Amino acid sequence: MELTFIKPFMFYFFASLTTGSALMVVIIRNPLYSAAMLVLTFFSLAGIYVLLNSEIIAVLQVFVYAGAIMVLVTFVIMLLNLRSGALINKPTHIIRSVVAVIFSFLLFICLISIFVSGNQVENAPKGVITAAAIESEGSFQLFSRALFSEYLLPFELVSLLLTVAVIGVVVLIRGISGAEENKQAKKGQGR
Amino acid sequence: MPESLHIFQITETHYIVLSVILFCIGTAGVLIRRNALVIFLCIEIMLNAVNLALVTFSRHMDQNRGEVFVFFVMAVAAAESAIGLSLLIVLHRQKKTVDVDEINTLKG
Amino acid sequence: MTEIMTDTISTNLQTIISTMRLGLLAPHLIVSMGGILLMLVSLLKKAAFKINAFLAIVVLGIASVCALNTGSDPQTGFNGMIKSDMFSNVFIWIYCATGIFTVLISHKYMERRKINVPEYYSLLLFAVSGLMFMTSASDLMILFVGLEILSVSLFVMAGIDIHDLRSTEAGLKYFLMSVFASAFLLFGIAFVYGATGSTEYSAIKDFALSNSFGRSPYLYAGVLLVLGGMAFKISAVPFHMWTPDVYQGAPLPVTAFLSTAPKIASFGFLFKFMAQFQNVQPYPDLLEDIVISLAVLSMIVGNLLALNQEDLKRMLAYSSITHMGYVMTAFASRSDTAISAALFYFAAYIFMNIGIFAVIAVISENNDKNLTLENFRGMAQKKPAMAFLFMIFLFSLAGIPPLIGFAAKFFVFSAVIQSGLYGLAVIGILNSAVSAYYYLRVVINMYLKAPEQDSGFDLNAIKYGMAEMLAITSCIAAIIILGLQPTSLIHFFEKIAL
Repeated sequence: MELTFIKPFMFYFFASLTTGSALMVVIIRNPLYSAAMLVLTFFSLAGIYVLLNSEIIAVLQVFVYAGAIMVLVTFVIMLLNLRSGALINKPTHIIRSVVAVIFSFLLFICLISIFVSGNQVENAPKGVITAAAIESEGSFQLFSRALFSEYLLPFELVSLLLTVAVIGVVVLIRGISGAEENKQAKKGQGR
Repeated sequence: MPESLHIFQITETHYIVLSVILFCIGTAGVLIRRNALVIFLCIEIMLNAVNLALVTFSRHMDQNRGEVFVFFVMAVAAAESAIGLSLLIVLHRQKKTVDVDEINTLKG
Repeated sequence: MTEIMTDTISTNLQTIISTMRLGLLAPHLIVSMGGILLMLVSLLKKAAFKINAFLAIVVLGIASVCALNTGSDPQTGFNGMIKSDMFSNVFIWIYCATGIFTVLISHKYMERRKINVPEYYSLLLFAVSGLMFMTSASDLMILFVGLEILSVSLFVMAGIDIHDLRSTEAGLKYFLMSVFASAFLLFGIAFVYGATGSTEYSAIKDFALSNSFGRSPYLYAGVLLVLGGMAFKISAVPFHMWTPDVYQGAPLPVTAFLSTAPKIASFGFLFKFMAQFQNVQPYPDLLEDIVISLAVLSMIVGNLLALNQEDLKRMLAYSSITHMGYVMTAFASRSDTAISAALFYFAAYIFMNIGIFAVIAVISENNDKNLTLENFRGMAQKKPAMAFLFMIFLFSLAGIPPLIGFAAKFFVFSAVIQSGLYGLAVIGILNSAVSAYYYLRVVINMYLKAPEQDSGFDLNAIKYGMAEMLAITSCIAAIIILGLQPTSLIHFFEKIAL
């Protein structure tokens, strides 16, 4: 509890780290470094989740995003052979960049003006998962209980989704390896 | 400056502003970059911005609906990344590029 | 302590089990289980492609019969996450019909093109189950996961021809645009959740009724973002950029599916979701203006881009944008008549679009090149029957009287006029007149132009398959019969309330 006064500094530290590394993802031209910067973004976001008292999401963030997804991405970068030069970003056309920046800046202004200036009413229903409840029962327990009772149907649907993804990847990649084998077999015959 | 944006009192608005900033960086990245892989990374930034907003609201309202939603978003992101990256590999096998502007066989 | 916890868990479980009501999900479960079954059958290698096609039709047939069983009273299940009523049942029938037609036109085409991957049908079934979840959902969580099940299967289906660069390109472009749109949709959902404290439609409705939009900027921004994300999926102008590329590149049967069911599902969701704000006073002007301008832009820009398009698939892509613009006018008028008119339009659109793609599939099976309008020159002399069928579909899309396309447009525009949006109706009618130009251009090419000597395109090689014939004839029958007798169907749709 004595850590309360440190919280704002932690927030600003993680927030600037997140924003900075996210900007670097966009700016850096080598995708491998972009991916590395994205990992940093994910880690600092995990810090933000801890500040928000949501440990389970922080853990999942590190496992799923920084662990699984980014490993997959770097693996693909490796597979595509970075040295061939096909992966390096070409400099973007200046007009496109300017238009993109203006568009996202406008989006930013619109959203911020709505959220900050608006007189947000505070009468959304409050739940029971208070900080005290998390303290006594633990974030993980509360989370998993909700996941397997209230949110059982979407949970099952997500499992269906993952099945679909697995089938899809097999369909896409199996054909390629089959084709390569055929090519090699043909080469062998040619000799 | 509205009440909710004190500098040394971190409120839900701070987190939401951070989430909006991240979302806009992601959007800009998608529009600027032409490398399919980097576009994909920028979309991941956008999804993370969404996650941050969901967790913030969820904690603010003492619920865990938002957190459960984040769990689903993560699963969906994993599934999508698997499909997207395998499409990218298929493309790279056919034509040694991942540049969206260079894949332009489709024209009217 | 532990005892108390086990107690709460068991009571929790009991409430969950009591609200489960798997019966409501019978069609969804049958279709997704069918997808898994087909995946297992795919292991049989050789014959699997044929068996799967047959099984897919059977599964979709059973699912549509099951939808009859759930009854017409609205019922909720799974803690209010699923709402099954006549509205969602109609959509289930529409999806099943689309799925069956897609299977019918896929089989021969995919075999000829050597993309006879047996898992294709499995993915199709998963896509259909995703569609069903999207419209049966009464919770944004289910909507999102259903949408993603649909999208993930569609990415693979669009890119399934891994030896054709065009198909891969279509798959990748569709993937990037769709995930980008999903991010906007999700951000919208996050803010709706932030405002209302729930993702359930009924809770959102209660909140909106007691607080209205003006007092809740989060809700306002959230609804706008959800609308924007969905406009991508519907490919309403200005979010339409991906449509022509994806339509042109994807294998033809996939394009047929892609251009109908997912858009209809997105509209289904929008109708269901926006109905929650029906009685919110005051209804924000901005929201209404945005929907109207999306409708107007889609109609006009879609038409203009289709006018001088030489590639047939791209022309149909732009025309589909226009058609979704017509439905968007119905969506803008926010009345019950408009909903029934939109439902009628969806039914009509399925038959017209799948029918025309079936004909194109038959024509282009043997030709690897993209089909242009020039290729149709003199088709009436070489293949009179096929040219005639093609003409009927084109006439129906153009909205020429005795056919279903006319009835559909008539209902939509009269609903728009009833709710007082005269300008919108006039723009719609003018656009539908303009659109006749590019449909009739194909007809003129077929009937009045001399055949090209050296087009590299052999019309004589065209042969019908049994399945394709079945699809084409049933679409033609539906177009003519429902075109002549639209009243019974529209009366049926009028009874459906949201």
